[in-house]
Amino acid sequence: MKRSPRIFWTLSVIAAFAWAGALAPVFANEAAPKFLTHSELTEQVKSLSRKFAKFVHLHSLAQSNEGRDVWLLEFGAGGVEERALRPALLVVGDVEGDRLAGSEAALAFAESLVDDENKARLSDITVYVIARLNPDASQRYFQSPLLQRNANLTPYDDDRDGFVDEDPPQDINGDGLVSWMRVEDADGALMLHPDDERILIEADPVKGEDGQWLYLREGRDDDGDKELNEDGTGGVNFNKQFTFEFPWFDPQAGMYPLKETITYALGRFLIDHPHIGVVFTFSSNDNLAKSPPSAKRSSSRVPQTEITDDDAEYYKHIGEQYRDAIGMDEVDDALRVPGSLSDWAYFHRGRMGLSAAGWSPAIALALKEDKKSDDDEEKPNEDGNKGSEEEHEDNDADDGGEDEKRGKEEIEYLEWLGERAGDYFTPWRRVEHPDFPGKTVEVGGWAPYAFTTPPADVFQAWKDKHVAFLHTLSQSLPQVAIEELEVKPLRRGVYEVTVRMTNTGYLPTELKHGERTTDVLPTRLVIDLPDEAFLAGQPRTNFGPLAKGEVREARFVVQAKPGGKNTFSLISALGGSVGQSIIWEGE
Amino acid sequence: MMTLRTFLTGLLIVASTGLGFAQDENTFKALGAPAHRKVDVSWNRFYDVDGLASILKQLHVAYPTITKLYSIGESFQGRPVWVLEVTNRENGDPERKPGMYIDGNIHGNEVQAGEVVTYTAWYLCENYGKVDLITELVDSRVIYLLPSINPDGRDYWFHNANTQHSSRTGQMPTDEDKDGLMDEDPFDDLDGDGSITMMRKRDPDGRFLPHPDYPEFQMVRAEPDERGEYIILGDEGVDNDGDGRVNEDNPGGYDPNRNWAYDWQPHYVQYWAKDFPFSFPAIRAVGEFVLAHPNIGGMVTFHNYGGYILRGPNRDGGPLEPQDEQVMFDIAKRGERMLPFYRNVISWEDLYPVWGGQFDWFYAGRGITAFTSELWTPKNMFRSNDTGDNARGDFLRYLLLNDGVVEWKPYDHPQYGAIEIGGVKKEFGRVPPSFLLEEECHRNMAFTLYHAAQTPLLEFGEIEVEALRDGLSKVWVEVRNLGMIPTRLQQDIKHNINRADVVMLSGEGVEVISAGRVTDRFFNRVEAVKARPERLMIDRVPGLGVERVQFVVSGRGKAKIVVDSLKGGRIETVVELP
Repeated sequence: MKRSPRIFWTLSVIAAFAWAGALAPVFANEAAPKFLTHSELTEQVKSLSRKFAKFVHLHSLAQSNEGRDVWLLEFGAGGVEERALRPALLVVGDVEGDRLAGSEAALAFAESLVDDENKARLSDITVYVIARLNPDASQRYFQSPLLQRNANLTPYDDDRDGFVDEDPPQDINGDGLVSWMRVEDADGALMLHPDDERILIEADPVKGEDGQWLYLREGRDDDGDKELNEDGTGGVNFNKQFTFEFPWFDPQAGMYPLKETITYALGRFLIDHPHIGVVFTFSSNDNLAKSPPSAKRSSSRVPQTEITDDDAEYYKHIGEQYRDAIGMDEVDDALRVPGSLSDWAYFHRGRMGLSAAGWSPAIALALKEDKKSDDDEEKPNEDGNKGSEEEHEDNDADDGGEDEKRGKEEIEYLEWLGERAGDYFTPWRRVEHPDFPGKTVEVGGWAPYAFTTPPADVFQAWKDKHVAFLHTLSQSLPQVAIEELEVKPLRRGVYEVTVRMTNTGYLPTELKHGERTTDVLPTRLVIDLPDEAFLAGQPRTNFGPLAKGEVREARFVVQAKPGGKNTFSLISALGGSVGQSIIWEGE
Repeated sequence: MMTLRTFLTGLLIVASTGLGFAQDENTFKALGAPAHRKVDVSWNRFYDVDGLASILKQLHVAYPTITKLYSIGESFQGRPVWVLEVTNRENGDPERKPGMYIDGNIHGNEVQAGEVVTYTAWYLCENYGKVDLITELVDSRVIYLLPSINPDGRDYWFHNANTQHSSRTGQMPTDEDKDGLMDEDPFDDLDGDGSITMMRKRDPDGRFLPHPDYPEFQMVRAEPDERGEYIILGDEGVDNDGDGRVNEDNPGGYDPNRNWAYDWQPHYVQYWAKDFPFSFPAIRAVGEFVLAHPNIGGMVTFHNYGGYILRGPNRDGGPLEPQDEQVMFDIAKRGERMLPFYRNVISWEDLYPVWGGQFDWFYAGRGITAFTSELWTPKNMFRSNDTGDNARGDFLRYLLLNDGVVEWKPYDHPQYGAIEIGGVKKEFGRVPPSFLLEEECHRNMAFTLYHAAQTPLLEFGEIEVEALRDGLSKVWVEVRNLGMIPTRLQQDIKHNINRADVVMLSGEGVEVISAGRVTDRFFNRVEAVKARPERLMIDRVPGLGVERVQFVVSGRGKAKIVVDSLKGGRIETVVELP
């Protein structure tokens, strides 16, 4: 194997500016793409909204703890009220803060919406784009030493010892990265992979294996409690902040759902903009690289915990569209994150809630152009987010030596990275560690962001494919239409009216679960005639969900003034609204 | 928070009428309350939000050294959520004393809860320095009293026409009938009597008859083989929005007691949950207040009605550790004795399941012993289990002299035509009548203060210092908890909700070499900690129990020992090392 002496994420930080958010990009790396700092992003969204003021409306959703604006771009022609009635899509580029590639893709999508070929659609739909939901976490990408963060800096006493954030991970070897340590220790549960000693795997006592290594975040025991890095710098992960399966007592979840200023603002925004029918996020709670499981509708008053079978086909179809756009096979396993934004959108708000990790070792290996031809039957079985020793997955006991699954994905990812591996993986190097006197301690391993960031040479194509998918997605919103308004005079001033309504979009006007939550208002037909004008029917009529192409008929017998004009308005929560006027015959 | 200035301005108006009572030489003590009061309050009537606030303000002015009054936030309509904090403010930091949290009226119509909490505040103030148990409690604990955490709902119930059941909600506009309009079809007080009663219409096919004994206001269902005379059209109102339905979208339309963060579920699972936990401003304010006061070790929230001391969990399979259940059961058991006809029961099993209920968050989310008290049971009418139609009728007729009865009267309804309106007023059914209100206040206060007295309170037991060789000493410290409630519930320990209790030893030139919990005091078994022996962390000090720790130290002279527990308080002492 190639062991590159060069250390990749070399940093030259002007530390004094680190907190001001005005930092220039600092990576002198070759393999990672260059991302926008918060101030560059701010410049870019401001300039976009200035240049295309007719279509682009810039809002600050909230301010982060450190005073950064969470920029919300709204795309749509016309006035506020018009825009608020159209079918709408919300794209959140990076919920957690460590998927900056996703925030770049969201921004590229936003910018392409004002292209000549797309602009016209902004009279039919409204699109909201939040490139970065957690700017405080994202900004850590530009600071030295580099530590991957998916949480903001809200202080938290993780180890409940009465001291807050007193034992964070550190860069102890001065290479500018907070990466990993492995310690040779009889207590350790891990062993070196027999084929690749860079990789650690869980020892299986049943096979006669004996773990000899600990795998730890790089750092010291700062508070002398014999625990390493057990109380890092604060941190709420916004993708654990929502109400569906909120992970109580998870140190990253926050004190209660929607407690953080930004998640509260986003929650309020979604509730105050009920026309948003699809929420797409980049986050680790992936349901696009692999389509989510489904289950039958839960019994009455029992929480639904899987997507209902009735809605699953839509998830499958959109998942296929996603994988086609990206050019990848379905991965075997996708991470599920309790408390995520996308699951909240579906399970508690009844909207299509989509999430793509965008990048992970499993996704890299599933990309079609990069796959070897002969490995169809041996897909990787682990998600790439090996965060700590505890997160190692158990493997089946019957793994043969030939088909070693433990560590397979990591080894294959290293192979896939090829030349770039030297930048994503630091060779293990021995250090003297005061907390492990006399023991072999090595620092190195996967670099921060190695599992969440596509290499620079594939990044542009990766981004373009995601932009293309988001355009496809924006065309899937439901759209109600009055197909026909048939008026038959019965007597002078008495008319029978038949209204045929349909959905010309792709998604239904309400998902089945949306109907069930009652948080998606039923589609209604409103006729501007007084109640007493109706001989049959009523001024406001509610309807259930309308699937694509489905036609629903409603009949009324009304008394109206010949020669007078009335309007039939069809108003859907997610499918927009249309009106049709008629002039009564007979005068 | 409301400033002192704002509230003093309000007070000037109040002071001219409510304060400055001279000792009345013609009044004498009935046991249970002082004859001579600094703040005189009639406990046989109700008060709106300002009325209750005015009592709290008078108490604060009359008893400034044991009270603090502040608002923790505002309701949706901008009413303050008042807290009266009662504790001796001159013998230690109130934030570090064990705390008891008491609130009421989360459901706007459950009004007497406000009087029960305010009575508690009044009783504590008026008896401090007079009744020993009260003096001890106010010296050692801090009691947070929040008479109404749904002030919008409370005022709406008093100031507008309602039924006994309506105005449970707050006042955030809500689209209950999902027609895109909010609060557009409320009740209508058609007869203008300030109450929403019933509408009936003569109809030969109706299945209802006037009650044979109380025909002036009560109806009965006709026997299966009997012809009826009336149909019942429901609560007083008209179809305001022309959708063919009456009263289907009243102001508000959600339940503040389904808005708590633990085990929250949306509307399709939990009716009236609305948006998300802590989305109602007053409830969020309470949540933040409790998070900021980890010293709170006991909680009760007053509701009506039914006569229950409700314990968690609120759903089958909800969180409840056996040890914690035992201590809450024991406290409520005593309450059953103090509150005739009240039952000590588990909420989901004996009442109904609830997601996102208040005491679940207090217990499961914050590790606090927590109860809901359902005030008023109609069994109080005749101190009997008979609460049927005849009991109600007789109580109204013979005890209330028909105060509360609205006799049927004809009304020309725009949609139903000729109808009759009548029934009972909103003050009958869920709230006690004047002469039973003070009793309800006192008994429930007594139970709450009993609970408050069980919150953990630490003191040092014996401290032994033994000289070892080479200038080393062994120090044994006993830490005793005087309350029934442990310093940390099992739920707290299991989920690391609050930090551990710590026992610290320090001194000039003193070094702690080893420390640990004593696991067997007779055979000297000690569980030594790996690190930081000078700051020994222990899970808890059990209720009415003791925890022993050992320090092995080098050095001589004075050493300070501090025990610091979030819920049990902070105590310190000094020992002499030989």
